Amino acid sequence: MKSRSRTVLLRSLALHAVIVPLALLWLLPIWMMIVFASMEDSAIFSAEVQLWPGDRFIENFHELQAELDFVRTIVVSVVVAVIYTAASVVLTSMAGWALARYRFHGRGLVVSIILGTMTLPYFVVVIPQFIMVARDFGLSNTWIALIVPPLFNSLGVLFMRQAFTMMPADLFDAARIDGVSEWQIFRHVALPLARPMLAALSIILFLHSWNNYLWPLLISNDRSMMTAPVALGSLFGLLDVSWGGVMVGSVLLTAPMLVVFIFMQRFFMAGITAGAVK
Amino acid sequence: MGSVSLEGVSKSFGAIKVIHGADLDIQDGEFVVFVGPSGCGKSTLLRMIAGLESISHGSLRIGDRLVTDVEPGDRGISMVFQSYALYPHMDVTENLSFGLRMNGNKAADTSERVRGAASVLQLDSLLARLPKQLSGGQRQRVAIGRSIVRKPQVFLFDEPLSNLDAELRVQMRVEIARLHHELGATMIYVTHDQTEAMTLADRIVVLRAGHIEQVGTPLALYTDPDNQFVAGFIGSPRMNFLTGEARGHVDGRQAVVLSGQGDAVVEVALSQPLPSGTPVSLGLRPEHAQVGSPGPGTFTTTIDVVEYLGATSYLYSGTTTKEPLIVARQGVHTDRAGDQVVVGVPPDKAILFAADGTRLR
Amino acid sequence: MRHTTVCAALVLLASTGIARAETEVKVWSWGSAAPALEATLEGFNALHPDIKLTVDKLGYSDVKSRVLAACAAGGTGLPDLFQFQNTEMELITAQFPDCAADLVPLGFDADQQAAFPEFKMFALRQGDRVVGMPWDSGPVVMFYRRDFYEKAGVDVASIETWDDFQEAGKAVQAANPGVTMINDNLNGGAEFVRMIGEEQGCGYFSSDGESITVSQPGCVAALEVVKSLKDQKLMTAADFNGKLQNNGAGVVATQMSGAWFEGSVRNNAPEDQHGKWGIMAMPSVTAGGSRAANFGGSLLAINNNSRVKEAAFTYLSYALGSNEGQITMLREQGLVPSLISALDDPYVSEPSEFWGGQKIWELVLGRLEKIAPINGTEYFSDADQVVIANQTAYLAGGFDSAQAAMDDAAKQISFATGLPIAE
Repeated sequence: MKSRSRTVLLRSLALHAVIVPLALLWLLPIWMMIVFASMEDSAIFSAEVQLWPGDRFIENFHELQAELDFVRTIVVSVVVAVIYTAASVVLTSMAGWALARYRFHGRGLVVSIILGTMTLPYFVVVIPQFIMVARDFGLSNTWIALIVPPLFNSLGVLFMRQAFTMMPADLFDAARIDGVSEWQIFRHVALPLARPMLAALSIILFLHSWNNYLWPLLISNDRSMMTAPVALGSLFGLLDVSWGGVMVGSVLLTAPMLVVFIFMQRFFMAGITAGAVK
Repeated sequence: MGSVSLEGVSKSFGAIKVIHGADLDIQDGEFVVFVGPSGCGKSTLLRMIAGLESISHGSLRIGDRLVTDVEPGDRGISMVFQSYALYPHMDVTENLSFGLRMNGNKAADTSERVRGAASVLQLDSLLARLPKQLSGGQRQRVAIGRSIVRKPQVFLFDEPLSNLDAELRVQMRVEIARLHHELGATMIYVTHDQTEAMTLADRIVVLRAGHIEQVGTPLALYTDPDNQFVAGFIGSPRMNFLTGEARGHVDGRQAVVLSGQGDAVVEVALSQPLPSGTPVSLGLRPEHAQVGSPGPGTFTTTIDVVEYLGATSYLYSGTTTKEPLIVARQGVHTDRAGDQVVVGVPPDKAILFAADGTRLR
Repeated sequence: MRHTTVCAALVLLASTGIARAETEVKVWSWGSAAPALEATLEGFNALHPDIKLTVDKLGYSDVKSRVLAACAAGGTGLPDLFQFQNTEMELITAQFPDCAADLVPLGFDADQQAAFPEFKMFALRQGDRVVGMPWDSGPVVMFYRRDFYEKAGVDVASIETWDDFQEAGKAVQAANPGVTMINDNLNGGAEFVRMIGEEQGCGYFSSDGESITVSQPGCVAALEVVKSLKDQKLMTAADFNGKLQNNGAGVVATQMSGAWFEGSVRNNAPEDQHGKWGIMAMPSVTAGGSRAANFGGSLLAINNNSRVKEAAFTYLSYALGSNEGQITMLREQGLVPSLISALDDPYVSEPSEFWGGQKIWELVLGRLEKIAPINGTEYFSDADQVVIANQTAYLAGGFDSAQAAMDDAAKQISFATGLPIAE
């Protein structure tokens, strides 16, 4: 018994000896981001490597704010991400529900097409999409253009379809026998049961919007409609980069996501692995 | 009012026909059980009555209404599922009231009905629990309760007890019988367990491969099956089938030579004579086979296995041959494997089937 | 006199301001080029108060992505003016020939074109059309540490060829322990091969863009110089940021780059390095060579769909086509002019304190007319990838000779582009 607990201890020590350095390796860039965010640009090029944050974070932020009105771009990013997430969750879960639970002609074809769109690199789609939205609809620099075109999310549709397919059909049949309408079944039976999946999907969609770069870059070139990552991108010249601002901006963009992820991690993992255990 | 009538009801999935023109009339207040081996279409037929599966051809009436194309919720039925199908995120009260609430039923009436159902099913102390906090039997009672609050004309049960252990199953069986008695509503019940069928049913519907083989009271099916399939399906242990050949026909009795049992000759009541040499199958229930002394209509066989059940013993012979035989022997005996016994076939109890399985009367 | 005319113009404008709508010109630009444009506005608006310029500062790759997307969408969303790299302009002219406006009908006549060196105009010509106006340029020069060189007794005037440079390097490294003579990107890029090859008149493609010239003697010689520098341990690898880091740490004696690197060297140097840096012309492979090449530089193009092409061109003529505009941008943001006449401006002959009193811009701008035009073609970045890979392989001993490495590169480029290899 004693020797067994010792082997367990040794094994866990060995495991940690591998995991801890790996984790630190992953954390190092995030830490360096914080360090550089609080230093002058020249510190990045100084001969000795700085490992401890300096005291210029606030000043760097003020410079960033003065040059880009960064707070406003964050507001734009938040508004876009929140509306996008809410709308996309609603749309993808409805589409997923229909594809999972209703038999209709061409359903298999529709699923194949949706699956097929996932194999297309985004770069193939983005130019035609841009031409359509910008030239044909004339929607450049609008909230609609920022939010609507990415709304249809194949991953979300298939993810929710999978979630609904895995639910026992009897539940919905029971509700049907109870005279509950299809919409009510979706709203009051299916959606509450899909809550872990919806939470996971929401995080994925929010991050998708939060990190989206190419589309907002192309479609919103007006300062007042710029999202935060695009605004940060303008700090990158051909070779000259305002590192302090970039790092401060990156910290501000990353921190909320990290916090959300750490708090919702359990939920997130539950949703992602839900299919694996059932 | 709660009558159900099927007229030429059939169901096809593409080219595959799974229900072949079922005709059936169920009286108001009757308890009808659908039995049959798995895949016979009994559940499909039930779901067609419920409206969960469409009816390809034929018509369905519930009460005096034609409901062939009516939505499940408007058919005046309720259904209990094998999986219970309780909403996992709702407590018992919410589960019971969900349908009523969604349909805008008055809150006072809803809670009245919930209370009524809860007290009938002794769920009062469980109302605030979630399904995962209930035992299997309790979940089944909630599922039944959800049916009751709808006050349906017809209750449908789809193998409701098969997820329960043996003891609980007997208990719930009694409870369902009691419920039927108290509510007096029409009930249609699907099971593959013929004990449930025999104990619960006013009438049993035996299905095979999408065909209704026979409809009748449990006793009628037991004593007077229409064909070899029904005869074999109803009764436990299973009816013995002995191969034979028709010989002479005298005074309304057909002589049959049991070729698999030492050419013993049995004379069975039969109105129409069979041509000599016609192959037949002689059905004999284990409990009707008599162990006794040699004489006409008897044969000798060797016991392979004996099961002692106390009041009854089952003697198995010919287990490795094409013609196994089970004899149920009442009382306490000391038969052993390897013993030779003489088995008598009471001519009144034996029934005859043609080679194609149809009953010869 | 002039003062009064401006005043009069302002009064005139004020009185007619309601009738005359202000023309708005929008421009996309990146990095320090954007504030450089803003710096010209004071002078420009004094002459043209009715034209209002809005500068959108974006990232370099953002401008590129947006311009290409907008051109693909038939010019939708494109501003009136946009900045583009000279070497990348072929991307637009080859794929979207109608995207950038022809400046000739707007007034960019032969005389005005002649004010710019041919190596800048080359990529902008599309038959008779000219699809942009040259902006800044990157004459290649050497940035060196005077103190290190002096300590080794090396006189920069004696360095004419790369052989001279390598001799000097050995002396500098011997006299200054821990110091490396020069840095090149090496694994991440083929900058040295491009610069040294261009000095020899050799680019990846022939001047007509019809054949592959990467295996010609000039380019092969360039690769040999790189190999020799590395084998003698006179050169270590460093990317843009690494070079600045090495500068700051005082562990490198020389950097070779386009003259736009001047601002980066100056701004990132610690206090104690002031006055210790100098600039010299790049060495040649052969004695008596041109010692001139270009690295980097951009242009401004006018959106063909712009409704204010004339106003945009008016601005170009001032900001890029006049000494006043170009020198303002040089002074404020270190943008090296392409305009040949800028050499005559008094500012160019001012000595620079940081550079030890050297008249650096005289030296830099003096290279402009000696630079050979090189055709990048639309395949430039594909070809560059091949050369970088083969350079890495050659330095690691993967090829027997520089000629073999470049022959192989030429074959690969030919395979990818379908162009023949020049004899």
